[in-house]
Amino acid sequence: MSRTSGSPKLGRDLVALMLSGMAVTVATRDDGLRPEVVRAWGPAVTAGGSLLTLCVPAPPGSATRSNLEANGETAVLFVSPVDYRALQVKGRAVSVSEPTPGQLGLVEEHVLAFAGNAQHLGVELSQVRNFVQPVRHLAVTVSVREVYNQTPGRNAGAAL
Amino acid sequence: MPLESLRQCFAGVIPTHFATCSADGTPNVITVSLVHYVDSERVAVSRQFLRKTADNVRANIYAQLLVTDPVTFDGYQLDTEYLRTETEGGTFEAMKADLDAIASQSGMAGVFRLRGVDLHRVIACRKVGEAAEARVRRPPEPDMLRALDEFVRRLGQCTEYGELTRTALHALEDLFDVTHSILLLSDDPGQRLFATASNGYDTPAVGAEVPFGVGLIGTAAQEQRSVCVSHLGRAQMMQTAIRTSLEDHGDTLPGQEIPLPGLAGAQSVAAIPMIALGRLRGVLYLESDRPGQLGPQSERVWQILAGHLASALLTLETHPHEDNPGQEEAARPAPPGAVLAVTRYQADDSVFVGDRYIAKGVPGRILWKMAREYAGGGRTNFSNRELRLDERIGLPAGADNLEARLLVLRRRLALQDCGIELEHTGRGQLSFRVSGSLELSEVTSSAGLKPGRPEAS
Repeated sequence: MSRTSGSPKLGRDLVALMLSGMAVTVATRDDGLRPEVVRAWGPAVTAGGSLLTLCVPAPPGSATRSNLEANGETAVLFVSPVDYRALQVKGRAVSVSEPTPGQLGLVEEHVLAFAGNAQHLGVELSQVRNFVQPVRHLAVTVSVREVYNQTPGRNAGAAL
Repeated sequence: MPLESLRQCFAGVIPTHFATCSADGTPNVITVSLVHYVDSERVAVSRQFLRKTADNVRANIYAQLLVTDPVTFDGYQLDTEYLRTETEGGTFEAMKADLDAIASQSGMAGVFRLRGVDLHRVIACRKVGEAAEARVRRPPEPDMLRALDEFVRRLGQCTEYGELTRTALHALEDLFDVTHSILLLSDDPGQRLFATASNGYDTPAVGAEVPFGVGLIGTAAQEQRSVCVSHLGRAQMMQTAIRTSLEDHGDTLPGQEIPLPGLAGAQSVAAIPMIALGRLRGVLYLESDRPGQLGPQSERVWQILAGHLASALLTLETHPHEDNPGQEEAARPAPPGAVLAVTRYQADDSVFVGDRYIAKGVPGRILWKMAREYAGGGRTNFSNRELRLDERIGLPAGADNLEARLLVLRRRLALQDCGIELEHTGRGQLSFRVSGSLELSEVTSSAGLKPGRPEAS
């Protein structure tokens, strides 16, 4: 992944990693620069790697929903429960909408894949389902602006 | 919601996510290896690889932690304000000991130092989303006070050293559901710990040694600080990720992972220093295959147990009541049976029976003394008093740990089933029993050590 030619794109290897059942969290912020972090599900990468879509718990009145509508600044962290490889995508939300049936299907696929990856830690599928908040989710599409390595070690925080 | 009620979320079983925001309004989110409950208003976050996060909280103090209950999997958001970074003091030292212990266990000691701990004030705390009907509910906590009372009562009934160690470890299982435990005592110069009793393992750990400063157990001893890791699997996975990252860049690492002496696949462990009369007596090591069972939330209970056990052991060690020895026995012929070859290696006083390693150091010298006197005149009865007075055994004056060393020797002989037994026949009285005759030999220091001696684990 290179940052040299305008907006970065998520390469094939990174996309494969992101869709392999990683833990995903989304951080947004309000106008007072107060951050808000929630778990997110069902990642999908489109537009040749320049757009990332996720389902985010954001019921009416929630800070996440307000933040997405107010400024859209977003950071998305992917962490593998298998080997702790991690990456962070930063960008701006360009679309916020009700999730389609297809997107909700990706949420279920993600839950199953994550549960499979976390099994060796003693985590069961029923517990993973508890991670998915029983609240209204929104499909949020982020225009990718920056990508960083977040795997623990000397290169944590390096741009990809 | 009181922060105190969320202490189980800081055990590290499920990673904590930490969101900050830069001055230009760009959010940042990472996982953090260690979050420490400081008091009802503050938490501390370890600072290892968090350059961006460190820059952000200096420019904008607002941050948020997403923590997860390891039993119910409920999430909680903690709105925080950065206060300051500490590089010394109690909170820093406690977090450093935890990280050092895990790093040492993974062969990563000294690779990274804890740069500091960031203190944050928690200004709001709320549960994420709505609880679903089917959600797991937290089981009621066991009555720890009642269990502690019973533990103390059982130990109070013990009059003999081996009985005390056995009773303590069994009580840990009966009363606290700690199914795997090892009691290690310190040698006199304070350089090594040796296992004197264990419970729950297929292969007893008795005789295993751990150097001070190495691994979870050695760190707990050296720092005289409890090390409770409720997420060992995850912690070791993170260390492996760091190791891989370093090796990919050609960095040389100090060593390989050090296997724990006990349970394969342990998910939570606690190494608790046993301190009495201001001195480290040993380490009580607990293991569980259940993540979260032995986390910081129960640390105070283990510390009370370990402190009481240390005092009880010290009492029996320093106030031994010895029964009157029996009449001097007449020399007796060796019973019929095999000839047992007993070999002493002078380099470290290790003693083998046949090819089986039995003991070294003080226990080795005690075994050699008894074997010589048995072979020379058929002597079988010995007393603690004479062992203490025998300069060749080399026990230090004062607290000599003789009872612990005899216990190790008795259990090692029993485990090896080598034809020699050492039986406790009364307070301070021992009987040396041999099913055959002994053939003794010594190997001088210049000849080196016999292969197959156990190295420190």
